[in-house]
Amino acid sequence: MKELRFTQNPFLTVTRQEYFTLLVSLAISFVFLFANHNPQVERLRTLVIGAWGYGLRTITWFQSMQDMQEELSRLRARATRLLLENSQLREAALENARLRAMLEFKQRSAFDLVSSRVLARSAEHFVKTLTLDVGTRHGVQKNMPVIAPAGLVGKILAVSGNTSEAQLVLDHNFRAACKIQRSRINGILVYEDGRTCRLTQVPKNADVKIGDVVVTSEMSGLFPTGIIVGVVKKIKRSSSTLFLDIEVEPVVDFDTLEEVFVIISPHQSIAN
Amino acid sequence: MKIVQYTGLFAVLLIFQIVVLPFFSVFDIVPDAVLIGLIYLAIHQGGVAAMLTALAVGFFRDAFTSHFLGAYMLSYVVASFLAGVLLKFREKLSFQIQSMYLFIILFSFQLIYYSLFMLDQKLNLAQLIFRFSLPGALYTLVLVVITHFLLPRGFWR
Repeated sequence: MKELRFTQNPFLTVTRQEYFTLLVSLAISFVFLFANHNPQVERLRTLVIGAWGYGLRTITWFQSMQDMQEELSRLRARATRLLLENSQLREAALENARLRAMLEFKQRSAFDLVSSRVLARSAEHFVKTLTLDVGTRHGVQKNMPVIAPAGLVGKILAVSGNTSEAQLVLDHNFRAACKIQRSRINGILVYEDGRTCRLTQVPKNADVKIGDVVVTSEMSGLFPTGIIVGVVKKIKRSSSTLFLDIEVEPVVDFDTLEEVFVIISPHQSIAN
Repeated sequence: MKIVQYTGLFAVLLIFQIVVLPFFSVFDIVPDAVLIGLIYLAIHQGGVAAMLTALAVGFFRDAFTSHFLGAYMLSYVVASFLAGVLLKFREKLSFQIQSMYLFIILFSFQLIYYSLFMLDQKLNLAQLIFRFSLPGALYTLVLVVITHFLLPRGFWR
């Protein structure tokens, strides 16, 4: 066979069989082209489309399953976004309620208060402190009382320009002179364990009942008188000691504290 | 045995063409996988086999896609004939001529098909060529190149 070059005509190599097939195929094609509206051709097409539709339904079922998977992924992502947004809105609403309560508390409080956010809290067992976002620039000084709308939180332990460290009532080294609000019996509040404090140095014959409210005493040089500290939960009278064993539960929920106040004019007192 | 293989191949190509490829359309231009199959068949089994297959496949494609019957049949038959003729002695042709012939086949198919399909659309020749036929041929050529690299022995062997 001679080598074909670009200039040579390839149609010279076409066989009769190929020409014949071409002519027959073209003829059939033209018959269909010109008989498009013929009822038999229409019927033939309907049959083919029907068969194809049956097969296509199966294919599109798989396709729709894939689409549904994608839609499901999209919806899941959207649901997650909405959940997150909802959670943020709830958080904002709760924060709003807290801040409103604090504002109300600040307005009706007899003290000069500086409000503060809790930046961090220590997780150590014996040292229970909060890091606050106020410092000397806001008028905060060491040993100033820290309170929440519910009651006493602790006192300022250390202070810097813009932050301060507050020692909680639940710290093992915390001490406060307190009294039973009803009977005016004085004692020293110390932290014991868990969420329990003890009012010590209370004589055995003192008038103390379960449910009595414990407030800060005028004996304290740091805390203004009358700030609620906790409630008497349990009283033990032992013949071997001269004092009562009084269990006090603080009123402040220290686990959920997010905003507190520092009393910057501590020498006032709440009328009891 | 080969008839069964090619029947399976074209069934898959038809489904791929009708179901999958429309997702890859660019400005309504879709490459033609069935045409690539027919060229492949013409190269390996000769023009006669390709033309007969083109007639059958064209009929089904016309029926499935609800265009008027005979348009794909005619276009595929002509393209298969050209493929059988032009690529018969492809081993003797340079790469450039092979590519040119391939493009002529693809372009002829597109031109015939769109001419028939758009008889009542009042399109001028420039639109027919530059808006539809040429982009269609080029897009299919891209698919040929992809097929060439996907096939273990390439498109020509």
